[in-house]
Amino acid sequence: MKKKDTEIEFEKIVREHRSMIYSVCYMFSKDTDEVNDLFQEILINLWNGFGGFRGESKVDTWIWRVSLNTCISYRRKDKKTGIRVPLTMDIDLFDETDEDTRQILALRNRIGRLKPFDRAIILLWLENMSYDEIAAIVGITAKNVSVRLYRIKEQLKSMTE
Amino acid sequence: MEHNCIMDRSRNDSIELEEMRNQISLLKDKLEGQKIINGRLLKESMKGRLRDINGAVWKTLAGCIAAIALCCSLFIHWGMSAAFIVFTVAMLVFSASMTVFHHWQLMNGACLLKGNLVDVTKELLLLKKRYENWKRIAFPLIAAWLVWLAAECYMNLGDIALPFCTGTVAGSIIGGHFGFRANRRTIREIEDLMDEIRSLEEEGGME
Repeated sequence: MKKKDTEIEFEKIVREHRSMIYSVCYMFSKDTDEVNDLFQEILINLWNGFGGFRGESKVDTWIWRVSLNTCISYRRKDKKTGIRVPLTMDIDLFDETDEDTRQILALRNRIGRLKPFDRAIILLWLENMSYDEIAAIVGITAKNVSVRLYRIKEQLKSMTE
Repeated sequence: MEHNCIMDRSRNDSIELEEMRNQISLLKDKLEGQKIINGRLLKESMKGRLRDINGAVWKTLAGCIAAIALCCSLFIHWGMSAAFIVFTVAMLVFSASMTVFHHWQLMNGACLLKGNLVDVTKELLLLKKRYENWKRIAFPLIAAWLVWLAAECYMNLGDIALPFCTGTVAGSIIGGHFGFRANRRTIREIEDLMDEIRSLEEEGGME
């Protein structure tokens, strides 16, 4: 595939999955700036791995893995010194402007209190993925996913009590 | 009675989880109407790798060359021993090599991100921990170098030895303090994630 075609293909995939990538960044960030940094970092990692991605897994699985891996291993001090390009958003999901945003923030705050791997597992579960799919992304067995999910749900419940 | 409790609990669970599913749907709906990505962001991302590698390598190399040039010219001018000058240069070259090597490893690590979460996190954390541990070796090395520097100053600099040494040691202590604190914080973060992976492994559920 020519470089131009690769770029067009990459852009298409990223645009199709932009909401999913943003959701992951949002659940792993404290503020809009951090979402922005993480989003850019994920795009860089996706682009770096795009050449080596030969469809051995589904595109969705690949994007989930790269996004979650980037968020888990990211620390603020790793922040790149390069240019930060703002995202094209006309809403601020960190600002409680309406009831919907309040609900979304409540979810983010609840998930944000979990440990990084648990955060990843619950996000995948909320995406309606099967235990086998979650297991393949995280690298644990399906049985362990169910045990883990039970504990996470208990933890989430105790947060509201 | 017990049966009713279980029923209530499972109903509560469903309500909780249903609420979370609704909240994630709200997020998706909000994001659906957003463009999020622009051409500039994509362009910057596509040249990201080159910028990162070049940035890290060039900054380290430039800093190392400047430090070597400055140290050599000053130390020779002050008449310090050849052994001390060679040791200083070797230390700077070694530090620069370690930094460049670490960045190179991390960049290669970034290519592994398509792997599962547990394997990739373990791999990246080990790389980071090795680098942070190396910094811990570097602190006593710098301390030893400072003592040697002080001795050389007293032998060669005469009256300005004391203010020069005081300034250098004070600067090093302040820098070392912040460096050590950052290092400890990083190690703690790495340990936390490693603990989480260990707990997953102990549950016997690794693929």
